[in-house]
Amino acid sequence: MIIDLGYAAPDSLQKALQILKEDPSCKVLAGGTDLLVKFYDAREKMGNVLDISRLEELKGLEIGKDKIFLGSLTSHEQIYRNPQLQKIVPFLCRAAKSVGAPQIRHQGTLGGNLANASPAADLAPPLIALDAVVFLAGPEGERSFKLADFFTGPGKTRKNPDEIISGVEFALPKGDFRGTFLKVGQRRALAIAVASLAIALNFQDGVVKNIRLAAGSVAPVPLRARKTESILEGQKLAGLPLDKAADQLKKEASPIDDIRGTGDYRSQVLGNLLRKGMYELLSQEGVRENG
Amino acid sequence: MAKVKVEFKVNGREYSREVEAATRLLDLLRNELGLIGTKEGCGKGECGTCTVLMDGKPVNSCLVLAPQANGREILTIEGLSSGDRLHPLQDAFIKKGAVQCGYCTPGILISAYYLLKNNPRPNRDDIKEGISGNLCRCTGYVKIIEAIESVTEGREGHEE
Repeated sequence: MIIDLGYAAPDSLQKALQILKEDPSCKVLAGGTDLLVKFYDAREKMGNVLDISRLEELKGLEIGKDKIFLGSLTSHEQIYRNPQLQKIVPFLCRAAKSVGAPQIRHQGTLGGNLANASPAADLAPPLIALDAVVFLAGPEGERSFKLADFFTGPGKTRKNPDEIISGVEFALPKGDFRGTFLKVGQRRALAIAVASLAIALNFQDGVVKNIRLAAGSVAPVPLRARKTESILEGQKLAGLPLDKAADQLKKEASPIDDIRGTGDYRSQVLGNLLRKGMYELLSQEGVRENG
Repeated sequence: MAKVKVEFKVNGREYSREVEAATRLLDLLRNELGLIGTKEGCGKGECGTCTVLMDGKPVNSCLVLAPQANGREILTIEGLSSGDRLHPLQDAFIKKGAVQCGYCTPGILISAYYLLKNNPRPNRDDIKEGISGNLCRCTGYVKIIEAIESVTEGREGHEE
């Protein structure tokens, strides 16, 4: 079943995994919005292409009573436009909307966004803040990782070359849950994040609970900022130590200089995003400072 | 190198071609089918002039491999008009002066067509969002937005 034409579009996940096992070097193609850009100058060097975009097993979006599962072929547009997701996790939809432009959002997929492992991947921070788990299908069966532990470096993940991301799952937020996603880019459309931040938390009896912070474009991987979380966890809403938390967040990050911005600028923006995000959540309806 | 068979529908017509695996949909449309209305700009999904509809959804044809179009339905700018009759959007672009050099126009028209199909009464923000994946370096977008606005539901044929 090796690819003899340089291209294969199998109709089942099992066949796809078989092809990948025989040739782990073949390029896995879902939406193509990263792959074809990467090989823009040298498509002849792309090698064998395994087109997984027709695999029904990787499609679909299940919203259950306790959990939400997003198949890896779910497009950014499908996430952004889903009425239930807009109600339950609007900040995830906001992140999906911030990707590229309509064309990219229709074509690009959740699985591709994560597999490509850009530190700027827009879906990674909100999903990490939701404590999502990523599922991998491989020749030996299924494996899963906390998304926060999945990325190992720019373009690198714990996924083996013979595995395919099958989907992402997270628990349905409970109680007085709040979440936000903020992104600073160089323009309003087709912008890659200069810095981004997702915040998820509960406001419980006037206190911050279960806070999770995840930042993009400020470290080699999408960054879960646990030390900053611990400064805010359990604190009363009146008088949150936001300056201290913002300083800690800057310390946890290690942004680099590149064409989109300097490390110093990213660091400053990141601290500001934390303040802005927390103010946004605190000013939402129904927040009571004294429980 | 052996070739991959692509059977698909473009503007309602069936085509069957054999292409090298690494061929882009854009190249298949332009070089094999002679549908040169679709333009290549950046080739990297940033400018949107190569926009076509694939199974009814806007995609950058420079980022789609031709074999991915197998079994799909494509709409290009050539499919927007019927015979000699221009699509109302095309008419509006001419009337409002929304075309200058014209290189972005095919892609913007396809994006606008998709927008109006899914949202017949968009406001200005919806229109800006709808064409946010299409760069125009001549017009400053003002006339383009006005042209699209002029064919929104309830405003067809509206003259100022």
